[in-house]
Amino acid sequence: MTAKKGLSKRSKGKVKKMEEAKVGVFLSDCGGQIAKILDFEALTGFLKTVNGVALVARGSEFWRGQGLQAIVDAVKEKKINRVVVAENIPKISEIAITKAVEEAELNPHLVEVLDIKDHCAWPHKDTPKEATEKAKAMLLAAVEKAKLLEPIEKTEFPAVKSVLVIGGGIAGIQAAEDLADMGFQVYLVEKEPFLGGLAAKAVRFFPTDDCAICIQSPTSDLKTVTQTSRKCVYRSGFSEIPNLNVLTNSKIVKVEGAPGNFKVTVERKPRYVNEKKCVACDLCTSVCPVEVPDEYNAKLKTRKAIYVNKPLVYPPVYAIDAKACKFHECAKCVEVCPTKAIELDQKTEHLTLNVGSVIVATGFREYDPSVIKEYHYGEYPDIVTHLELARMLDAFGPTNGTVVRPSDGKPAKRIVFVQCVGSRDRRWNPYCSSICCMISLKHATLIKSAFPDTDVTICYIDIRTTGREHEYYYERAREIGVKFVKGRPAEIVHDPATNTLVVEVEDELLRRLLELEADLVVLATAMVSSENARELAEILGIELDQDGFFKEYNAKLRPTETKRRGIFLCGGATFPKDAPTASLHAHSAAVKAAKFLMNGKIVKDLKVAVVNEDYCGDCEFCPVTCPYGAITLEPKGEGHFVARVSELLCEGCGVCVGTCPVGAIELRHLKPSQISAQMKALLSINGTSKPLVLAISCSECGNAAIDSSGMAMMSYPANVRVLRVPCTGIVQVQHILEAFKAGAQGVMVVGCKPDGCHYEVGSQKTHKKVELAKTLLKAYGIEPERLEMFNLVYIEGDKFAEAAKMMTERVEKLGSLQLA
Amino acid sequence: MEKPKKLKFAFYWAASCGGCEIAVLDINEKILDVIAKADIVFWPVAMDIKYKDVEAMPDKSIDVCFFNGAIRTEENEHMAKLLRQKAKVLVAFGSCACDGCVIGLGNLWNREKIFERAYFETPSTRNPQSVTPQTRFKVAQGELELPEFYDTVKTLAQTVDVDYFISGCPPPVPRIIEALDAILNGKLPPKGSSFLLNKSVCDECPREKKERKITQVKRIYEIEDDFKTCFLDQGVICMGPATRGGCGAQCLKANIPCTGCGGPTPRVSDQGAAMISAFASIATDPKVIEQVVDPVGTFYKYSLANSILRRRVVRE
Ligand code: SF4
Ligand code: SF4
Ligand code: SF4
Ligand code: SF4
Repeated sequence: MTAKKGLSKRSKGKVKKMEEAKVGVFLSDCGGQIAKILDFEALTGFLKTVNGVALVARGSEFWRGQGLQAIVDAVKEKKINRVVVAENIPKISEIAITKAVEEAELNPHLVEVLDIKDHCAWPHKDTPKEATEKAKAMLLAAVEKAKLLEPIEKTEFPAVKSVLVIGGGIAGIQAAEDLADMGFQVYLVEKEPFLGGLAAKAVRFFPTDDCAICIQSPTSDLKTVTQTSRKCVYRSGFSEIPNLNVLTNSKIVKVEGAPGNFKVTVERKPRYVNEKKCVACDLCTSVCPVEVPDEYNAKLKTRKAIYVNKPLVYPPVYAIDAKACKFHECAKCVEVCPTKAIELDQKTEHLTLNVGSVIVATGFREYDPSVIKEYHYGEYPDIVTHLELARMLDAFGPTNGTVVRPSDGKPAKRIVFVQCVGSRDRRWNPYCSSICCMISLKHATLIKSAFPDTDVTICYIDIRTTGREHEYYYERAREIGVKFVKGRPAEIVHDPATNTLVVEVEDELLRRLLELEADLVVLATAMVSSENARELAEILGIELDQDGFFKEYNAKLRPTETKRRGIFLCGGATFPKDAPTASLHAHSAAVKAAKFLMNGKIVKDLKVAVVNEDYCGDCEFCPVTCPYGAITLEPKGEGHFVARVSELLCEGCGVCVGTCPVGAIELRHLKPSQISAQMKALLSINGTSKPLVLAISCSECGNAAIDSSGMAMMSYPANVRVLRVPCTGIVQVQHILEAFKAGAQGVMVVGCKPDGCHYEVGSQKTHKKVELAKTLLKAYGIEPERLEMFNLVYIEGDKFAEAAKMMTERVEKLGSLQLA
Repeated sequence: MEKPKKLKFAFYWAASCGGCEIAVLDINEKILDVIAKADIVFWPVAMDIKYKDVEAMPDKSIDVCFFNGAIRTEENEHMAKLLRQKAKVLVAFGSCACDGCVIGLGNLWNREKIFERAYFETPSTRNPQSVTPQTRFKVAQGELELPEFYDTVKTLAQTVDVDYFISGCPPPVPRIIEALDAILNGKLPPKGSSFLLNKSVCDECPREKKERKITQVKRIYEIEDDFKTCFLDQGVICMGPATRGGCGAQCLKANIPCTGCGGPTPRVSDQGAAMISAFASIATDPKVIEQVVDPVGTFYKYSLANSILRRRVVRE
């Protein structure tokens, strides 16, 4: 999935081969806050002796105002070509400083910002002399790293302003409409011949009780409310947006290319009716001799081989069911069609779409309850699912809105609903499907309101009405006489003599066994992921969760994104959702997809990994460990392969670097030489009475915890030195051994929580490296306790301070480590 | 026209098993080219020349010295220094000279512990007078001096300046031939180069790489080898990924996993640690890590003496 050669544009402009490093060091006392703790005279004096340092400036702040101007001047006038700034809040100050430096025409990656306040002065304020010595080591490390920094350029990747939406249900339609309104070319692909998905079958929605096929209309220019909202699908006009293409009977078979520029192959099955010619006159169905059970209508009636599934559909065009039609043997419909719309020789087509991103909106479906033997679904005809009941409740449906017993067509006067069928049951689906309680309440209410003399009972484990206004809905159902029995039915039996069903259930509240007689039993079945989810996930290269739904990148921060850039999710594809939530989700995915493509290009700093092909031995480890699928193996000479990193997909974490057994892959923004130079510098000055401890910390949670301990002035000893890396995943056992060799008496690895790693796998992988390194240390005669991994988050600054103290005490107790 | 002057070669063995000497002979008829273009002035395994003869040679009078074996004793060190002084080009030949090899595993102990084991504890030892090697020993004829046995095994490069390396246990014959060709034709690579390849053994291995996920560590007898799939994919630890290639993956071709004799690849300072990092990264579970019982024997069989820490910290 690498960007094709020639497709990406590289801005060479500001990148020239660097002359000898002239480091300017800018020391901020943070508005005087730390001037009493650190001896700035001593620091300045020390820095002046460091090789390569051409300028040392002291000020009260360097990330804005005069201070920032001083940096710019130094770059412009004094030809400083490496900038080291000691500031606090480094992330924010770094943004301002790099921006200013870039404007001064120095590559922004030649800047190193360190935090001597929160990482040194504050936590060591009680031992100012020691703090000053540590600050020297930190500054030396920054200077040594800065000397080795190299410019990093930006690259542009093409972003096609076009989006593919998979799934023409409520979520897909709304996302497609949003994007088309915003001017993107949109392809809406639906596997069925008609749009609408599950929602369209459901007739009405809770809690608004409005029609399922009601959607918003396009709003590209300002229109009145009645013009734009609440329109039936077939008259909303969404299908008339010129840049929206609806492809029915279609599915995705292949996705190639890179985010921003995918090539998608769509397989389109024939409809056998020309969409442009059909006028939906219905003459064809009257002559069609083939009758098949109508699956759309829960097989409660039959339909012809040529059909529409209900009157108000989109597209309003008939379709031929290829499994039923007799084609040229019959061809009666061809004769009667007044517009010559029927084309029995249509073939399956393959279309290639060029899109910048993809939205998966494939929804969910009802679980097939026939596997649950005790409920005898499929065996007794009067046991139905909610969707089947919904078809009866549809005025256009097979029973014209009346509820009947499928076995004999007589009205159902006693109806029992069974909740959690296949949900919340370890045998089938452990999760709560979350919407079926409300569906039962909706259906019970609809029935009870339309046919008050019907006896309606709901057997439940818990009634889960967690949404806004949902509880009122429940109360109303109670008020109009729906009965509730707390208990999961053990069995549904059928009395053939009376053609009656009996639901055996223990009422848990009254502690008694009930046998509820029923004409109709409705199973509130679980909602499960769409049938082709796994296949589609493989084609798209995205993940499913343990329950088979599409997995989002992060439930809180990136709820509609996936780990693959440019691929988004919405609606029931991620979990069963009610219509309002699916809608919300769809709009969010549309915004994300639009944001990704709106500039027509993707600009990226090349802070990525690169492979040196002369050394890559094709062990094929890094493609597996990279959390973003950014590495592929490319043929190089007869029978040989080398790893290659996609500059677009790489996130620059360094997990691959921490994996590669030959050092063939490295980060452009943190080279091995820079790591070891910093390590040596940090351990070259002690200045405390305690043994040196090196903490290798990730730039994310690990560093945040260290920041927060400093900000909160939690103290820990100054012998603890922090080396920051992007992700702990980059840590190699070599680094740990080198640290001991360079004088560390203890080594801490500080990273995110194993499940909360910002780069997915880094923390877990390095945990394993650390464990194996401990076994190795033992073999080397070194106490394994000298090495420890800590998994922290931002709010655990106290835990970092404790860990630092603990490690110091531990290695003090172990005594000094004498290496040969 | 004057006949080109013949080169002067020396071969020496320090702490080694002798296999490297055999490898020199394994070049077969190539030895004739060598003899045609070079005189061998020193080769203890084959010629009777004394150390004092070498001492008498003018400095830099040997063109190329192939030095195999690690530096275990004072004698090894003395000869390394002497030959460095006498030779223009010094080649570390074989895994012992390059990385310490199995001799280097002695660094898991010190002299005292090794003597204790070798001269007292081994079941086959009878040593009623408790004799151990001494540097000085009085006999009727006078006092004998023996070279000191060091605590720590060193590689050749840790002892003297080395020009070229050719690792392997023993070095692969095709690479020896290439090295000799380069030397005989005066086409020497930059100082510090190795005559092995820059890539790892995996690059030459015919086995098929599959999932690259280790779910369980297995010993070779525990698998039913299909003779096709990469050993790691079958759960057997193979050092191929972290080992300098050039051997043509000969062990793999004989269905034996690589144990690492080529030593670390050029950009790596510690072969064992590099493989541990890689192995832990592709292990699916922390439990897999616990299944590694002998990390040094598994990952450092040939390179302990040339690793970052070089030896075990032995405490009394
Ligand atoms: S929503 Fe209600 S019926 Fe559906 S699984 Fe959850 S608790 Fe059961
Ligand atoms: S740096 Fe991270 S994202 Fe980039 S290739 Fe390596 S493992 Fe993948
Ligand atoms: S881990 Fe290193 S040697 Fe292995 S394929 Fe990746 S870059 Fe090549
Ligand atoms: S068997 Fe060993 S050398 Fe061959 S591919 Fe697998 S790891 Fe590499």
